[in-house]
Amino acid sequence: MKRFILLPILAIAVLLASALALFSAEPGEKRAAAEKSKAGADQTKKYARPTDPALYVGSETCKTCHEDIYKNFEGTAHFVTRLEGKFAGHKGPEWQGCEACHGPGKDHVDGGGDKTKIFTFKNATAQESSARCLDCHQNGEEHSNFQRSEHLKNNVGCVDCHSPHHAAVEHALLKEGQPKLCYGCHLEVKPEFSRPFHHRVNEGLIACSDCHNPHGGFLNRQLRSTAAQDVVCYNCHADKAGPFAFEHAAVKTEGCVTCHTPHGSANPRLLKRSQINLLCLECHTLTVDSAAPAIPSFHNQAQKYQACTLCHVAVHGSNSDQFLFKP
Amino acid sequence: MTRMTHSLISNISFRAVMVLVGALLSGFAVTAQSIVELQPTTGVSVDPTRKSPVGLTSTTTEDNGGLSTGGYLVKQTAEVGGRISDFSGNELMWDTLVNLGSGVRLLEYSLNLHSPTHSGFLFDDLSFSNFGYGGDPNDLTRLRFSKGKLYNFEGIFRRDRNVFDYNLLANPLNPATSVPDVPIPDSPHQLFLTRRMSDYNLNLFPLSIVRFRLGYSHNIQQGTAFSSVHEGTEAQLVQPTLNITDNYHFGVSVRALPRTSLNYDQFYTFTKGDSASTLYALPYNLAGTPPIPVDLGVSFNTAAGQPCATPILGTGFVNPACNAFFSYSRSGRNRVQFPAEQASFQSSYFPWMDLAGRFSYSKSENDLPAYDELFSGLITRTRQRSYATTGSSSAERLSVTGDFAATIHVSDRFRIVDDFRYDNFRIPGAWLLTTNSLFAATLLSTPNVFSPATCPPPFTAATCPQHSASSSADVVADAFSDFLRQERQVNTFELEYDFTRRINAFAGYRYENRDITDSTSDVQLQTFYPTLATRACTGQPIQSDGSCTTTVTSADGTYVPIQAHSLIAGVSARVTDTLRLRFDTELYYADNAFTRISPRHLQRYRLRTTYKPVDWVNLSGGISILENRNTALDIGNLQHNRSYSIAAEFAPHEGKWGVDLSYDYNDIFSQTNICYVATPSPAGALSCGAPFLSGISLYAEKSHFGSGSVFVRPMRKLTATLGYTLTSSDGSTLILNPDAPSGPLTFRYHLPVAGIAYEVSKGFTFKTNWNYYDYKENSDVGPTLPRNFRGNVVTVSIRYAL
Repeated sequence: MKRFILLPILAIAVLLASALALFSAEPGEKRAAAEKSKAGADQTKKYARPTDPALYVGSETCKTCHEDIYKNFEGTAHFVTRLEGKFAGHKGPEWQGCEACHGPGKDHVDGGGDKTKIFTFKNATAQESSARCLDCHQNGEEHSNFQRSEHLKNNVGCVDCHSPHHAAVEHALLKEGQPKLCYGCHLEVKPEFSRPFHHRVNEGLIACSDCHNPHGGFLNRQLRSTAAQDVVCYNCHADKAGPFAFEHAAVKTEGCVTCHTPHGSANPRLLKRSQINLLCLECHTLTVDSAAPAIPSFHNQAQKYQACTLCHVAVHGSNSDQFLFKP
Repeated sequence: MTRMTHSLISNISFRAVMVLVGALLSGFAVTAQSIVELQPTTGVSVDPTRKSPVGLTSTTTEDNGGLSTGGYLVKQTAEVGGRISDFSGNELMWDTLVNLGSGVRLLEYSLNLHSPTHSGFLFDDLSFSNFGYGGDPNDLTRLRFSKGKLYNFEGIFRRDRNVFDYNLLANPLNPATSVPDVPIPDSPHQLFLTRRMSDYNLNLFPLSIVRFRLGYSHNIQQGTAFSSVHEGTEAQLVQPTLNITDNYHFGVSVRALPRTSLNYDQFYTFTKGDSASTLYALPYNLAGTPPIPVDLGVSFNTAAGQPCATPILGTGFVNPACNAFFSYSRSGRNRVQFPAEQASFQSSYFPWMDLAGRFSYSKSENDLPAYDELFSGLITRTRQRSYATTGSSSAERLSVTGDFAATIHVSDRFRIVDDFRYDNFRIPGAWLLTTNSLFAATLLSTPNVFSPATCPPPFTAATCPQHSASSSADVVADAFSDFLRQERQVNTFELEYDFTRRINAFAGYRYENRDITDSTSDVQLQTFYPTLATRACTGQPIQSDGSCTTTVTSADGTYVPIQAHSLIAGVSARVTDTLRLRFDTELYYADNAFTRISPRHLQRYRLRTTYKPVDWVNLSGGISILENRNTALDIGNLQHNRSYSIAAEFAPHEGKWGVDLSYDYNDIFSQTNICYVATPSPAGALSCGAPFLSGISLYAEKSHFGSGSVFVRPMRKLTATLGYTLTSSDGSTLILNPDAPSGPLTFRYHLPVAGIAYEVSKGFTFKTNWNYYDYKENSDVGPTLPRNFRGNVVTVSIRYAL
């Protein structure tokens, strides 16, 4: 109980202390920020592409110095920006090749390779670098919510997971394959998938991105949903989706995670409890506080009835029995 | 969409297409390829390269230049070999958790074609990858190909062979004191299912002003599942299972304005559930000439009258006055349709504002037009000797959702974010079922069918149906309806500020409003035949034929409004170029809850840090704490889930060695007040209204996870790997049945792994891999078989790059 009060106080204290410390940036940093704002490279978060063709030199020019990177670029999906397209949504040199991401290169070339005259992702903040990517990739439900995503909010930008020039995984240009990429930050998830009963993520059958949209979404935990806007679990477990003539209401209103831990569990069927009758009793108990009907008095837990699902088999919903005896 | 069309499309074998493509393309000569060294993944017997469903390729190794032919740069790898596995202990647990048998395998195959000039005929890039074929429980095939700005296609096929038998699940835990003693060694709810999932997605003109997308998914779950049914006793059923789901998708996007996209998607999902259940076995005999097979069910606790006090007579035959099954069958083909329409948009037209929105409507329909259930046996409480239930049921799910989100860039550092969601679903359901029952005193008694001719006044003849005072109605016409509705609005408002280029923070408030309505109504027209026609037909007139009819209605309804408030905040700092910190928290309060274990107060704290002192060293740590509670009167629910993790990765660029270490401590706790019935009563138990006892449903699980792996490459051609994972859990929980063990709550799961890879010649690598599995529960076994097992899997293979 004390921890329940102490923890929020500590959290607020940490945040306040951080805010006080951060409001006064180092003088040196302020100076550097001012200089940066005067530099030719626009490192702002909302990138407005210059449209003057004279500012662009073309990817072939970049290749003369950055041949290795260019060769790798040729083999990636980004190379399509160099291809002509009749109905292309983006036309003009500002959308093509190297300069589509790094900005106009003329000043950089004229400066003999002056790094301050070109946009570098290495020195950019998550917001700045992601703004560049989103300029092309924001359209489409997969990426349209990245600006508001938990990742970007916590300073995890596009180039923290993707590497356009040095990808280890060609598809989606990832720095590392799933799930290892996700385990790098989400340390608490890795042991969950190593528990005896788990979704087959480590085995490669399922990816983190099958259930979660790493680029954000409208739902908590960046979860995906079915086409009918129901929980993502039903994409594979369609037989549990219903709708049923008699619903187990908590399944639909609270979700599958009321009873299951979807990553992995020590308990069979990824249940939250090792004794299934306790999981049921926690809701179906004689009390004034529950919408769920209580167990009848003849359900003697010590003698029998401890395996609720031996009789109540259709726990996800039934089309024929309001006691969930039959599916 | 006709069913014939479903069948036609679903019969297109994705694997056949893939085999054809592979056969066509395998004629290309390919080049050598270096070893791809990676840390081993403990607990899985295949190189993690092939584990990733994203489909690792070999394009990153400097040696793998590929072979130019036919206008393509071609790279191909394959790994063929076999597994030798052996195990001791519980075979079904081995199949449930590991399920790797001996045999030849196509461990991995990949093919990549790339047109350097982007002038391929049908495609510029093609990627084809597979793993696990030949007998592994998980197989995957992925095919991608694309052609410039014209299209990109992705198809994936996944197969999962799912064996499940954790023998404590749904186990009646028959006590040894029962007469006879009938232990149930396996779970009555075993599963032997195979799931085949195919997904195809085609995007046309992906970079154009107008873009199209087509998608199709085919999901089959097939196999045998065991279940049970309660009719006096609980009999085990066998269910041949076939569930097929097809999903069709069409979408179009229009870039109407700069940085603005309008999208429309149409989905159609069709699910077929063809399940039928029959009695699994008739292991006992009733006296007769010849003996009559019968099933007494899986529950044997004769002291508690299960299936009855004396199920087996001294003759060795079944007691004819005992609960039992002669036969049981149940069938129902249900069909579910889910059409869904979705309109969405994204816009960054104004540089200072990003907008996203989505509106979705779906109306799904579930039809079970012909439900059939037949029982023959004896339910002693009601004297039912048989019943037949027929009828139909249906349900709908109407869903309307709307999302709208805006990010306003007030300045280069300051953003305001608002996110609103409206979610409304309604599920009306109904069934109309008619049950006709026959009654008799014992299993050997022939039940009498009622007719006025054989049951004349005074309706007491031996040829009348032989009811008892507790017999149910002879005919029940049941019209049941159910309505579940939830309307939910959630609004999240946040302020985000970048204090410096290295530090940013956010703070916000979330408001949630939920209204949940759950109501049922039931109208049963019950007809009671003589004998004892008035047994539950009080106040109703007796008809001329001696029968009595009554209408029983019941209705119930619940309305639960919930309002919840959350404060959310976080800070993220790139303290130095090598050290990053992130912290976020959520404080939640709700004035109500729908279930007793849903939180009314919740606190979440997450702290993550990564430190890269040099680019080949990555140290990370994390703390994740979730505390929630619902301390309303009579509930007393307290829960927490606390995880503390550290990890270290050392991967020098030379690739001569690497180390990967991680550790996690996880503390899961829950307690809730419950009322239950148990005799004998546990010591000290208080009453919460006789005969109910008050108790605390306690669940405490503390687990340690440790994982370490190392690889060394003493010479260019030789790589050795070694790894170990240990998951150890201890805990305690309330156990109400004295025969129930703690089971999975206290276990150790050891997963060491070792491997060697030797490049025999350019392009050929010999690999051998050893995985060990040791699962042990540190608790008494209970009245089942022990669940422990140990096993070895040795994989020997040749990997070659053609």
